[in-house]
This record gives sequence, structure tokens and C-alpha cells, in this order.
Amino acid sequence: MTEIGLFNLSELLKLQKKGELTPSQIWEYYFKRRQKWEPKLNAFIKEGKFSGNGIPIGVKDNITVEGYPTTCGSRILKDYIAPYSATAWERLEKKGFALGGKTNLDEFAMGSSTEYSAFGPTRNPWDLSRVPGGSSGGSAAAVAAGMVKVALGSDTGGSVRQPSAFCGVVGFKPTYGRISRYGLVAFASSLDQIGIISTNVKDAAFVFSIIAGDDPRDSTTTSLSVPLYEEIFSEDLTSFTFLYPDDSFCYGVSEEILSSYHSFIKLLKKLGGKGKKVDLSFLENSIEAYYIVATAEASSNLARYDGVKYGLREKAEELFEMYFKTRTAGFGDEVKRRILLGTFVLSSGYYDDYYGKGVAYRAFISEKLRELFKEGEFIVLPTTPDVAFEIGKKQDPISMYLEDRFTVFVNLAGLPAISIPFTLSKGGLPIGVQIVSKWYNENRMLVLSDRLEGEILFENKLLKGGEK
Amino acid sequence: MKMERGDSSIYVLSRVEKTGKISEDLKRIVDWVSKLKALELPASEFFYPPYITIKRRKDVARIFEKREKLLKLAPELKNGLFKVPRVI
Repeated sequence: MTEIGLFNLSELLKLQKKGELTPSQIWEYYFKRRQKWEPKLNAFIKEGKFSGNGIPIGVKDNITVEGYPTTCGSRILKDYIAPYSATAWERLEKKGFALGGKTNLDEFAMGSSTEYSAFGPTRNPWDLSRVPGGSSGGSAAAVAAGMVKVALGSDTGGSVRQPSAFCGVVGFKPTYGRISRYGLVAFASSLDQIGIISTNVKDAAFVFSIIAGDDPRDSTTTSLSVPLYEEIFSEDLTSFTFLYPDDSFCYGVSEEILSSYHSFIKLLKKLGGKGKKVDLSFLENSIEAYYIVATAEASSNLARYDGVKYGLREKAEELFEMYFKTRTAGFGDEVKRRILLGTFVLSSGYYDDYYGKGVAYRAFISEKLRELFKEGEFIVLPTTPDVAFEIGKKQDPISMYLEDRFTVFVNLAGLPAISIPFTLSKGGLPIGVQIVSKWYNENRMLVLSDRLEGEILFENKLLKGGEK
Repeated sequence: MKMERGDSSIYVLSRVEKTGKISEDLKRIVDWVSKLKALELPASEFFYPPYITIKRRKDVARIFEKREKLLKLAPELKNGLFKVPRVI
């Protein structure tokens, strides 16, 4: 019989319905994998428990699940237990899915390696000496190693797509407003979006059709209807147009990534895509604009962790001393850096030069992208400039920020995007490619990704028991 | 440690970190993001993707006359802090 981990979600549920698989058999399969992999990976902050259909879903630990910790990978929320569930998780729970566990992340989702967690770094299952990417590194590692079927992550600047590329799994970030952010701990509210990490495109689509949709508890959700899973793949995609930049846009990208990106473009053409080379140089300052807008919002959102409302409280004689001690002890260095930068760019005298410019740049690229999508339906790019790097290798914050150079513009404009595993490097590490689409065009983006997946036949050897 | 009034928690944080590596990194990061200042861009309103209309909640308190009246009932202020009876 086929190994349980190799069935997709829809097939697993059909087998359950037919009585060929029981919920406990499924749970047991994943439980055994967790016993084997978790001591090596540190992908979870808290284990879940069996319930419903037994199919375990990982939930990034900045998304609330009632009665479970929501630490955000931070010391400041170390003992915080969520009193309510996020809409995304609530909708999955109602469909019978079990919580596989709360997954590790960079503190408050600020990072690209999952090294900045107060609970220790997560490791990449393809090579334990390397990072899984971040900030949803725990979710990506857990899915890649087959410890959960699917995982939820959050994507503020690439935090679902980049770790998915590093771990050889699918990372899907829908249009801003498609999935409710209710219960997602805010980092940068205008950029944050819950995303889905899975081993295949169909599973991402399956979960998307369950969790997306209007939510009165998040005023930024769109009321546009969400298609049913079956409808998504009934879409015909025999012809499509795609846009890609000149190689000069990919400066600093490793040769292996560039060569696989070229192969990807060839494959798209083979599948009937009409490709057009376009100038994307207007996106070159996205990363700077992102770090202005995101840190400005973060400095405001994280002001609530003051030792009064919830989380860590350090002992002190006076109120301001307590604020000082709590925030100093509770936040890690990267979070402090971003709070300080965010406070600076919002400060009087600098606001127009920094935050004002960031917002203007965001509107500028969004308009340019709107025009560009008249010339083609998809933009294709590498997901990352290189393969997963070694733990501890990137000490310089700016070099870490540049990891997200191909992903952040998507969040600035609120677009949907997906990273799919494309090939392996000579060293046996996964390489991902990214497809970006116009707003709310998730259906066709998923159909194209599914077709590509059928051609690529990327083999997740980890699911078959192999490991480096 | 006794803190002086007027310190915000952010300021307190920046003061204590200003001699460390965080400060050095921050200076470099500020220089790095300053590249954006050179761009000539038209001023813009805050951007949201299409088809998102922010739905204002009806139960959110706004500034209204009643609020002003309620604030008059608040405890007396001393040095910017509310004076409240000590509870033993």
C-alpha cells in the first residue's frame, strides 16, 4: 500500500470515507514521524493532540489556538495561553482536522532563518547543519519531514515562500485580505497574511478553499467569494502569458539558482506559456521600502507588550522601571532592532523622509504592477537568491534581510504568490521557483502550479524515509 | 533602577542599547534604508489592494461629548499619572 504521507488531503479523506483508513491510523503514522524527526529538527514549540479525522495540521506559533500557547517564539510571551482560536484554525478544526502542533518561528516572525527564536533554532531536514528559512521555518521543516500533513504560516515579506523553497515544499501566500488575520499576532498589519505550506499544490488549494473568505472579525478581509476545491481544478489553463525579468534583475543570485530559473522559464514555454521579458527595475528598492513600512507598523504593534496586559512581567518598584526591564528581558536583539528602526522612521522630522517615502513607493510599485499585469498574467522569479545557508552563517542583519529580495514586493502590493520546489542543487538542497499573479487570481495560479508540479516531479525523498 | 518620568518604554530601550552592537547595526540599517530618500515619488495615500473596503466596526468608541464627560470623572492626574486610592 502507498505510504500514508504520499496521499494528498482529498485522497486521505476519501480513503477514510471508504473505511480503508481510520483517523487513528493516520495520526499514528505522523506521530511516529514526529518521534523520529522532532529531536533533530526542533520544529515544534508545543505538540498537538489527536482529534477528529486525525490528519495533523501544524500551526505557526503566532496564530492562536484556544488553550494552547502562542509564544511567537519570544520570551515575552513564553507563558501566554491563547483564550481564543484564530479564524483560519477555527475553520479547519470545524472540518475535523487535528492540531499537529504549534510550530517554531523567528521571534514575532521577524527573520529569515528561524534562528531568532527564544526556543532555539529549527534545522533543515534536508541538511541538519542548515537553516530551514524563516520565519515560518518550523512549519516548513515539519511539512518537509512529514511530521504534519499541512501547516499554516504567516507571510509578511516572504515568510511562507522562502522557508518552503529552502525545505522543498509548496508555500502559498494568497492575496492580502483573502484569509482572515483574526488570531494572527500582528507584526505589520498591512502586510501580514496567513499562508499555507504543503507537500503538493492540491493540498494548498484544499486548505485555501476552507480557510479563505470574509470574516466580520477582520475588517480587511475581502467579501469576494472563494471557490470550492473542486472548482479550482476544473479551470482550463491551456494557454497563459507570463512575464520575466532580464538576468540583470537577478544580480547576486547563485549560478545554480539562475540556471534552474532559466530551465523553469523553458518549462513554462513548453507548457504553452507565452513568455515576455520585462523591465522590473522599478522593484529594486522594494526591500528598503519594506523594512521601513514593516518596522514602522511593528514598532506600533509591539508596544502592547509592556508587562501589563499579558506575557512576561519583570519585577520592579515603579511602572517605568517595569516597562524597561520587561521589554529589555523579553525581546531578542532582532526585535529590538526593528522596534528602534520603526520608531525612528516614524519620528518627527524623519517621518516624511522615511515612512512617507515607504508608503509612496508602495503605491508607486502597485500601480506599475497593475499596468504590468495587462501584459501578462503571471510574473515568474526565483524564490531565493541561494539555497539554504548554514546555521550561524549570516550574522549581518542586512545580508539576512536581502534573503527576501524576491518576495517582499508581493507583500507591499498585496499580491498572491506561490513557491514550488523545482529541483535539487548539486549539494542535494531544494531550489524553489516563484509565481506571482494579479490580485485574486489564485485559482489560475494554483492550476498552473499544479500543472508544473506534474511536469517537475520533484521527489521529496524525506517522505520516503531517506535523509542526509 | 529608578526611571525618570517622561521616558517612554521605547526611549528607555534605545538608551540602554545605544552603546551595544544593536546601535552599530541600526546605524548601518538606517543608512541602508536611506537609499529610498533619493527617489522622486509623488506623495501617496496609504495603499490597500483592490476589493478591500475597510469595514469600520460599529462598537468602536469615538470622540464624542459623552466621552469628555466621562473623562471628567476620571481620577485626578499627578505628573501625568492617575492618582488612585492605594488598595491594601
